[in-house]
Amino acid sequence: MKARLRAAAAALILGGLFVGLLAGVRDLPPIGDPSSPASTHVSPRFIEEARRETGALNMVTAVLADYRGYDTLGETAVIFAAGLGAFVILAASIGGPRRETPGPGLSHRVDSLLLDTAARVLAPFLLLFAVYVLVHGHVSPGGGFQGGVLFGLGLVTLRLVWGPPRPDRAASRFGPGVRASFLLASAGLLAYIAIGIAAMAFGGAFLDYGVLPLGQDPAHVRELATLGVEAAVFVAVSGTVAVLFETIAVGVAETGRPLPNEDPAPVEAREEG
Amino acid sequence: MTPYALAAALFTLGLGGMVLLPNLVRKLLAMNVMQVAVIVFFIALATKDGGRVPILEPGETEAIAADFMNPLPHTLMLTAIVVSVATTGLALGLLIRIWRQYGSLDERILLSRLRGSGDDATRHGAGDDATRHGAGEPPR
Amino acid sequence: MMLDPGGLIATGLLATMLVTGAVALLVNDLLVAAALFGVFSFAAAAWFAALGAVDVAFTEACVGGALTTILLVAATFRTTRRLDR
Repeated sequence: MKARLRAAAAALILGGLFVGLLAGVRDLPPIGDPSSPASTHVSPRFIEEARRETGALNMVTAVLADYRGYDTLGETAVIFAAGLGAFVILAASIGGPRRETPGPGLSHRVDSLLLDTAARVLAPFLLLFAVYVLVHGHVSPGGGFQGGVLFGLGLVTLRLVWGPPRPDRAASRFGPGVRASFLLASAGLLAYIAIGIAAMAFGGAFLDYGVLPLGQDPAHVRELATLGVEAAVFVAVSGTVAVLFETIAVGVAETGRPLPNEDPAPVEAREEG
Repeated sequence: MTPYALAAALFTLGLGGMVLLPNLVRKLLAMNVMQVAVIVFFIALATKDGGRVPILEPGETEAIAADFMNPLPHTLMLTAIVVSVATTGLALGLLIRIWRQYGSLDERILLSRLRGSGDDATRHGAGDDATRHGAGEPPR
Repeated sequence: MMLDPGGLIATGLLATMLVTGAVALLVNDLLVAAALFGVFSFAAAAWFAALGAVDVAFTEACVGGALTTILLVAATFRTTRRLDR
């Protein structure tokens, strides 16, 4: 009875929310209206001036890495922090009294000719395409984030097929481990900040690329600096992807100190069904 | 109207899933659905009738604002997608940690186990383990 | 040239999103749910591309269709795919 009441209340509230949202969007300007407020205030300047001011044909790249570079810096910091957070959460849980046998993770080597061949064919193109996406981000869809994720996925592909330690060669594994991935991720974030500070050193504001002494044409200078920023994002994102995969899929180093005051929790052993 | 309506439907679906479903992985999926609903809304907002993809041809230097989709919501949503994967990764780390610690990803089982082990007075004071409800019950 | 946001293909993609999203939340197996979430993300990416947001579509395809799904499957392997525990 209580459960049925709760379900009815939930349906009522959610239905009310849905109807409210529908009523709310009715007052918005129609979809595709070029004179809607969202399309007439800030963005016309981005559309009309991006080519002249930043040299980028892709306006999304221009806005992302140049006009809103500070925003992108914060975002890079957020994903770095997420990778760090996932690592810390999982690393801290290891080493104490192990009451759960975690699932095997994806750390078993699979000796499959099919997978091995597929990875050999796929991975080089994936990695190369990631770099292409990065450097072509000015003139086509793409940029640091997409390229970074693709590069990270290429590393993950190799890591899945070849990666884990084999019994005969305990230390061998392909791809960056957690430590190297963290180095990559933090190097990317620090490079981004360094570009911002370099602009300050040459008399501009933070992340004001135009003042960097890279050439005569300010648009070209900003184009180069935008590429630098995108490369920094690329490195940071691919490092973070590798960190997330290592911690979530494979598991971090199985050594560590138990957390102080860790409560010996009362969970019974899990029986696998 | 249609994209807005479907964004509203997806948002309701995601919110309802987050609140009502007891399994934590399902909650996480519902959160992702909700995020995509918001992205759908913003992208629908960015369209213009007869607008082009916001990328110039190589030879083009002049652009008229009415001819191009609005790049600003695109940028914002690109950011949102990347942040959403960071959120998902962190949440999955937490879920694995919860699974290791408590052996369950179901909200109801977790709550009963938390109540069972968090009751320190019962456990240490009376020393009566049998009074800890929930801790020993089979998970199904 | 852009698809009409209210046109058949765009609406069909949105309907696909709605169906796969709902089924992903309700299906009885978390591995299937992860796979369906991949389909959901891919439909979303296709819809974004159809509406001219190519960069967003690219990102959604990389991130939602590939990375998030991989992480979900991996986490499912390390925990459980069943719902009753």
